[in-house]
Amino acid sequence: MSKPHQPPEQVRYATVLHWGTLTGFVTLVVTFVLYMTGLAAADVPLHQLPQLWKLSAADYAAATGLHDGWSWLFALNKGDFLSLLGIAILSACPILSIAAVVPVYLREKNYVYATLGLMAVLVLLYAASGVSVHHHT
Amino acid sequence: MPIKHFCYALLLLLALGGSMAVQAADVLPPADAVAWWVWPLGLFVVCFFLGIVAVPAGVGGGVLFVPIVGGFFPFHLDFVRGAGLLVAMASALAAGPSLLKNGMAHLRLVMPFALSASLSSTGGAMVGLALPANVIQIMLGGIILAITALMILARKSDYPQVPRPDALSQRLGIHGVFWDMISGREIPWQVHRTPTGIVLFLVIGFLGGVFGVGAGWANVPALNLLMGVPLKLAAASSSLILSIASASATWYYLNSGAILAIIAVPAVVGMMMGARIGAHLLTVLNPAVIRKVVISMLLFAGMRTLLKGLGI
Repeated sequence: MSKPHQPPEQVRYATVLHWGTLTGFVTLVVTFVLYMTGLAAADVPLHQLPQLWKLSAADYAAATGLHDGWSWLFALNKGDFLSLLGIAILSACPILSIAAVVPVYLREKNYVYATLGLMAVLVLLYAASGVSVHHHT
Repeated sequence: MPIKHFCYALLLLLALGGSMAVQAADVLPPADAVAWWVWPLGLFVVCFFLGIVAVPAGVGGGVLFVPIVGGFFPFHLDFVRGAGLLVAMASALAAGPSLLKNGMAHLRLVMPFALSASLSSTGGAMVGLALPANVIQIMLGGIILAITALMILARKSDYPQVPRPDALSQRLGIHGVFWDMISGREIPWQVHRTPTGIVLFLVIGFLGGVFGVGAGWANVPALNLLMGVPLKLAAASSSLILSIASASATWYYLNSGAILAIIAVPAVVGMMMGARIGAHLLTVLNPAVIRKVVISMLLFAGMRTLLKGLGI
C-alpha cells in the first residue's frame, strides 16, 4: 500500500515552515557567533551579565536601559540585539505558515478554515506587535 | 552491549549531576566571581543531555528545561521561562515539516486547537511575567510534580474507539485516514468531545504561557484520551499545536525583554543537537528505563523548584 498524498494546504504549510525554520536556525547560529566573538559588539558587556541575569526582566530592562517592544530591531549593530533576530524569525514561522494556507482554503471555498486561519494569524500578529506589553509595563 | 551501558552511565551521571549542582549552587561564590562563559557553556552541556533523554522518554524539552535550569542555574526565572518557550517551540518547528508531509500530523486537527491555545498563551505569558518569582516557583514546582504524576498514572490508547463524532467536529471536517508507517496500515479516525477539547486547550495554552514549559505533556492526553485521536497522530499534531501556541507566548516574552540570547541560544542549540542523538539512540536505549530516569529527574527538579519558591 503506498503512502497517501497529503492535502495541498498541508504541503504548503510544511514547505513554508521548512524554509522559515531553516532561515531562523541559520540566522540564530550565525548572529550568536558574531555576538560571542565580539565581531558584533555587545550593548551589555558579556562580563557584566552574571550580575544582570539574576534580575527579573523588568529590573534587567531598568538596569540596562532596555526598552520593551520592537526597540531591539533598531539596535541590530549590537550583538545581543542582533542575536534576537533568529528568535524573531523562528517565532514568525507559524504566522507565515498559517498565512500561506489561507489562500488555499479560500480557493477551495473552505471558508470555515480560511476564517480560522485568519483568526490565528491575527492572534499571533497581536502577540508579535507588542501592543499588550506596552500596556503591561 | 557497551554502548547501552555507556548510555545508562550517562543518564546516571545526569541524574547525579543535578544533585551535585544543588550543592554547587549552595557553595559557589557570587556569580561575578565565576567567568561569565561558564554558565552558557554549562547550559549548553546540560541541554545537550536533556535533549538526548527527552526524545526516548517521550517528553518535550521545555518541561525538563524550565525546572532543571530554573532550579540549578543562577538565571532569573523570567529568562528561564523565555528560553523554555523557545526550546519547546524550536523543537516543534523543526519536526513540523516532516510530520505534515508524512501525514503524521493533520492540519485540520491542528488549526482549531492551536487557535484556542494561542489565544490564551499570550494571557498566560502576561500573568506569568506579572506574578512575583517566588509565587511562580511554588506554582511551577506544583505543576511539575503534577506532570510527573500524570506521566506515571496516565494510560494511553493507540487507537481509541470513537463510536460517534460530535456535531462540531463534523462541521469542521476533523476526521481522516491516518497512514501508520510502521504497520503499513490505513487507519480511519474521527473525534468526539470537540467543544470540551477547545476549552481544555484554552487552559493548556494559558499554563504553557505562564510557566514556559511547552504543553506536549497535556496536548497528547487531551487529543488521545479525551477526543479519541490515534496516539501517533495525537503526538505529531500536538507538536504542531505547541509550535503555534508557544510562538504566541514567545512573542510576548521577547517584547517584554524576557529572552536573553546568551541563555536562549545555547539552550536551543544544545537541546536540538541532543535530540538528534536521542532520536538515533531510540533503537539502543530501553525507553522504559529512560522514562523512569526522566520521571526521577522531574520529581527531583519539581521538589527543588517548590522548596526554592518556599525559600527553604
